[in-house]
Amino acid sequence: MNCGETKDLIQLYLDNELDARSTLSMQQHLDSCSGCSRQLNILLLQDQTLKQAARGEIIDSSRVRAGILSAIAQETQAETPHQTTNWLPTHWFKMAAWPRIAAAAAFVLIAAFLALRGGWMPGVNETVYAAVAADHAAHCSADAMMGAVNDLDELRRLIRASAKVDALPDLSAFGYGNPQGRVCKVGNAEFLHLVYYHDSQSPLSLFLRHHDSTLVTEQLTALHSGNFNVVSISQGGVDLLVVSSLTEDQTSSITRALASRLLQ
Amino acid sequence: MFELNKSGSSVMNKQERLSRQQSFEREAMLHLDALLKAANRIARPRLDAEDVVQETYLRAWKHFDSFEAGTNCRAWLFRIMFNVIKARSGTLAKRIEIPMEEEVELENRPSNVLFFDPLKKIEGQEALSAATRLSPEHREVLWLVVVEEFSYREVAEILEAPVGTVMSRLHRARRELRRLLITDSKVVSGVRL
Repeated sequence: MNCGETKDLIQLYLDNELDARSTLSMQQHLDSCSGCSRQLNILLLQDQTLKQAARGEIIDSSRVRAGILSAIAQETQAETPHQTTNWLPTHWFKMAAWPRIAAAAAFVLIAAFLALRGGWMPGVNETVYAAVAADHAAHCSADAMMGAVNDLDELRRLIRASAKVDALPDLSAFGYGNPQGRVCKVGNAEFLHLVYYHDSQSPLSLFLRHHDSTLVTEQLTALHSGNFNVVSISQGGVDLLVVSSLTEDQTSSITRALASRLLQ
Repeated sequence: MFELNKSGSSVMNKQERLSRQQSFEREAMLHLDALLKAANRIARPRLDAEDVVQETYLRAWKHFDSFEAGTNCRAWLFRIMFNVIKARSGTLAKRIEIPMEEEVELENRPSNVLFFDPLKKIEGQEALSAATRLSPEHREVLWLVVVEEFSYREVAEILEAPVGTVMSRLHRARRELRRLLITDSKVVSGVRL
């Protein structure tokens, strides 16, 4: 192979598109021709620099991911056959008046009982609890956290920006560490989502943001969503939601401990 | 395994839908960041990259039954994405050149880029910036071959263009990138181009 042929084929060689025989001829020529070898190195360097920069870029895909999964879930839900769309069974409407009145009264009493024991909380925006639980489920796999921030200085910068808090929450007393974070849009508000890992437990998520909404109240609130317990509190100007697979009591204890530090 | 709905057409039962959803998340969602990065650099500023990627995934979900398990899901998704871009911005060949003011905007980070890996050399950002100033045809082929490492044949399928066109665009894209780097008098890893 000569320099002219090399010039024609150098791009194919660079992109591994040459057959074995031509590749060998090219290599032999490159070994003996410093000019063609230099041309190849320049192209290689240009490609490598671009590729590394592009792959080193860390992006926040959480909003798109949540949008896609939510749209798919809605579509799947809509496709479900024989699904009851009325929240009351059809035979309800066929009942005589007095049993309906009695049942409605019983419903009100049960609702009041649940509200008093904290099982159902009118006025609490349950969508945000479901949304953080979904985000926790979506981001706790190793793959999903690829590209998330794990550098401690960068995490501190993120928590300062998101929640105006100077220190990263320390969960070592509960056996959790190695936090990774990314900014996620949950319930139309942006939260810093921190995932903490444990040697023997499932990961735990903290969602933090500077308090400026009614998404989270100052009262410790616990809800069960999917397979997770979600506990929220707003303290020291910070909205905090904790999502875990632990029991409600354990999740609440962690939330209280974190909240007490937020007041310091 | 299929049951009939009232109209008589077959529908999947709940378990099959769940399995399909899990399979989609396992096979397709894996490539979300790659598609979003590409859309950020290729579709912007004419189109919203996140919208393009979301529509890509919703189309992919709709046609996921036609995807053959074990084949290249990433290439399949990129092909869908370029169809979305094409549908939204007209035929690829007839795209309007970006005015200079918008080119400057392209050099800024897309809004969903959190930060760049500090270990990566700063020259890489200059190469990225120069690459985003290429024409759309050059930018997309360079990205698909160099960053995504697709073969010429795969790129030809993704862009629905002949392999020869891919090769000539790629050659011009590399030459133009090099020219921009020289014009900017940038030094790449110690070697002045």
